[in-house]
Amino acid sequence: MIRVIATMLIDPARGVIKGQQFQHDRVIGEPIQWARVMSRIREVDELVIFDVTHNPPDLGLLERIAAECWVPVAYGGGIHDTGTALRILKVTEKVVLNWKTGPIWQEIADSAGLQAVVGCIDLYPGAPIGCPGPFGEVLVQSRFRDGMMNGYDVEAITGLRVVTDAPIIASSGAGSPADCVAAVRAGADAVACGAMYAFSDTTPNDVKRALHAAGYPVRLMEAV
Amino acid sequence: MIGVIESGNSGNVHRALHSIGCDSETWTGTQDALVLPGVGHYGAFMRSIDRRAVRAWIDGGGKTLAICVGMQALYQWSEEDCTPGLGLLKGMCYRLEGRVPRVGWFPVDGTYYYFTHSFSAGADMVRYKNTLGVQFHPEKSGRAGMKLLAEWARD
Repeated sequence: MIRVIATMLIDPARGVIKGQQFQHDRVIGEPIQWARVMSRIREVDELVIFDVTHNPPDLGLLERIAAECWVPVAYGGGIHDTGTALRILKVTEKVVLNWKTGPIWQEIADSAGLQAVVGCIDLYPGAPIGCPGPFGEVLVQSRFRDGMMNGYDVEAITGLRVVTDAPIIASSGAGSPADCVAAVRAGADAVACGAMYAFSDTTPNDVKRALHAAGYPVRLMEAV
Repeated sequence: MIGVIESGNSGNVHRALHSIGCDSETWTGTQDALVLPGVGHYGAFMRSIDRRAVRAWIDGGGKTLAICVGMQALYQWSEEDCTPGLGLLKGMCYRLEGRVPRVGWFPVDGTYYYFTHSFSAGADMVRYKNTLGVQFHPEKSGRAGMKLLAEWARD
């Protein structure tokens, strides 16, 4: 099944943040409410939360978000040691780590299982591209496409598909359901969208319908 | 009032029950229904529960929802640990073949639910007397999971 994921950028002191090319100036909502809407009403398959502040993770807030969220949660941001990651994994299903973050991902995988560790690849011109791992999943994001809604870096996804067997989460740049279909065609197993769900009429179910029409298995919204 | 045995992700189970309008508290044996959640190690889970009381409740027809390792506990034994299960259902839990843990959304009777497990009794959903056992996590399975929780609670 192809997963349709909502990305939520947070600054615990301010709220849900709109990201654009990794600048985070605009507050657009309240995290718990956002998690409720995305998981309960929009029925995404998973929620990815990034704390953009570089501060240590706000575990209390994460706990409140996860408890209100009806789908699995992955969290990234401010994780520099195994202990912190394992504390987060008592609350969320997965942690997201920069793929260059030392060997701690191995220690985390040993304690919590490989499925709990998502390696994050950040694309920018001149960025070292690689995928050491093994990670449970690989999330690929792009600094210049972040929040721009003009499409994923399909070429990078195609390249990554060749070098890793892990599920790939496409992130950064989705502006339409067609962008999501293109990413899946290139080899992505999941599509994460932030700005598109916040600022356009396109809902996660629109993405699911487009993927379904293109012949991919998805979890279509339950009739109420 | 629903009683929940505290273990693993029981916090999420409490919150899920509250969000569908059910009251829950830590299981004492005096509530109307029991939720047996479970994330983690079979042996640790079996050793953490009052097996005689739980077995008597379920076998006596007490209303129960057994989730994940909680469902596996209904069986006789698991390959994960030498500690015996409750032995209410015949059979054992074996390590899944292929890549474990098996994580993700998989269909059960046409509806997708969220699974994360390395061992399995071979069934995704099972009934015994007044007990419903599910290998997946209804509390993390979106609206479909909540619907299942609500139907169980209402039943």
